[in-house]
Amino acid sequence: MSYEFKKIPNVEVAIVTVPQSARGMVTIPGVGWTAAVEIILFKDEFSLADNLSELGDCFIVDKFKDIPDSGIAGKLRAAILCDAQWETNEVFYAVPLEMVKGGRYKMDSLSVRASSSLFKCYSATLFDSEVGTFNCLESCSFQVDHLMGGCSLGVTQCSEGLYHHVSTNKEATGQQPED
Amino acid sequence: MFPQTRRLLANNLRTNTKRLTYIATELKENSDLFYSEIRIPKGRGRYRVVYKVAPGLAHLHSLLKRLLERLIPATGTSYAYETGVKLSDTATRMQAHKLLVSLDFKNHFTSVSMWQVTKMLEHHGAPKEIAFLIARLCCITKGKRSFLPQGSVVSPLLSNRVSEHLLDPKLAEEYPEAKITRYSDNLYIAFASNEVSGVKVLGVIKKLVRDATGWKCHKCRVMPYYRQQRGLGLVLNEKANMPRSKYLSMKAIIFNLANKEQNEQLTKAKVTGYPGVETVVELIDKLNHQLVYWKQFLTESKFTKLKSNLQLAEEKCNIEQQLG
Repeated sequence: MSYEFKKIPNVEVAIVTVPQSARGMVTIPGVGWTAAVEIILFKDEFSLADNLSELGDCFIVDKFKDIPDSGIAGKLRAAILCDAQWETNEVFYAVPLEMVKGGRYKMDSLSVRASSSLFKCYSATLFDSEVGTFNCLESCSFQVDHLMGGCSLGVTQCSEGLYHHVSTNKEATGQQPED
Repeated sequence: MFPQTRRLLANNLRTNTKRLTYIATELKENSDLFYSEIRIPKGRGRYRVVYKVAPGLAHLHSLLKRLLERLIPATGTSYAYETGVKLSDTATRMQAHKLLVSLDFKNHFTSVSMWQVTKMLEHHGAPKEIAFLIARLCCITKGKRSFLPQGSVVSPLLSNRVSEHLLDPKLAEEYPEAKITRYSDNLYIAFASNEVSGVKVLGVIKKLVRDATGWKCHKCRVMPYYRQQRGLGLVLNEKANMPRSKYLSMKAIIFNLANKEQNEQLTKAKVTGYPGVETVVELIDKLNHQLVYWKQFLTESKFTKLKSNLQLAEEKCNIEQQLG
């Protein structure tokens, strides 16, 4: 199996870990090319509402039925159908976001043009427990660039584009390495 | 729900995995990067060592504290550093017993090892890797030992949770009839009957603490009802009271401030228990604050006496300032 499936006890949530070797050329917000990917699956909207804020502070979330085609999407589909045995049309998927110096979301990845993306920013939602929930594209200051075909979720500009809208600038600045 | 992966932990702490890993590695190899040692004199040439935490790590600690407070609820057996627990309630719980036995854990925070923190977190449902990472982030390493540093905001919470996990259930099992109160590193065991041997209890508790946690006990005291029962800085025989010696010394300072030369009293006060005070106004302010605290442990007449003398001292100070 080219992914690891872990169901969280007592809740309808699962974590699918895809190793670097199996992830292919898929752009994922906040996850570099050499890192393994952790994607969180929620059985339905109720599970999402109950558990998302329990799991962490900030995520990119979308409905699984809107996921763009890619190798990872196929693996997630297999995990949902075979391991979790959930209805794919009901499932939501989320990727935890990390923060870097200055309170920006860590979204640096290579250009999305050369590859497929795990999210579409016009449908994906950015959830941040401290500042609220936003549609990624509507909140992005590069909205026009996107409409001109210049960028998509997962490129470096996302961090810049979303920074002015949602950053709380609370990430500690002392004693940390440069990212 | 505990963060299930390192990335989710980083997410909860509004930082990134790379930084968490960097800090954890450095804390193991070179804790001095994040902690500076401060020695506070305890008298008789002895020192209390506390650690000043670097701002980056201190911020992380406060976020970890917030996270752990949410994930690991208190069992109700800790009476210090817990939200909603008042000293007066704790004192009421301990007052008016036939026998009170008390002891201290020696170097409490330093005695709580990283291993104990890890095991406690695992017990509460944290995955092994995450429990270890959190424990590493919260502990300091000196030589071969990793332990909770005194001075970090998260240490009181973790020491309480470790005690609740390792010690409190065993104490309750050993003495179900006693009222057990653990106030940080002070343990008080109160019995309603005077047929219990305090010395025996001390022996059993010391062994139990040693076996369950590996901590050493000191300052052990057996206080039957016919002697003064001291705990939490109060006298607990019938109801919680301000100790007489403390009351008399406070009364003397206030009386002298009201009736004698105030600068002379300030010089005396600096030597006898108010070392940081620089002016008479500061001293009166400090006494006022202390009186607000002690009000709950004083009788009405004693409080009124102190308060009226303090008002006289304040008026005198104002007049002297206007003249000067």
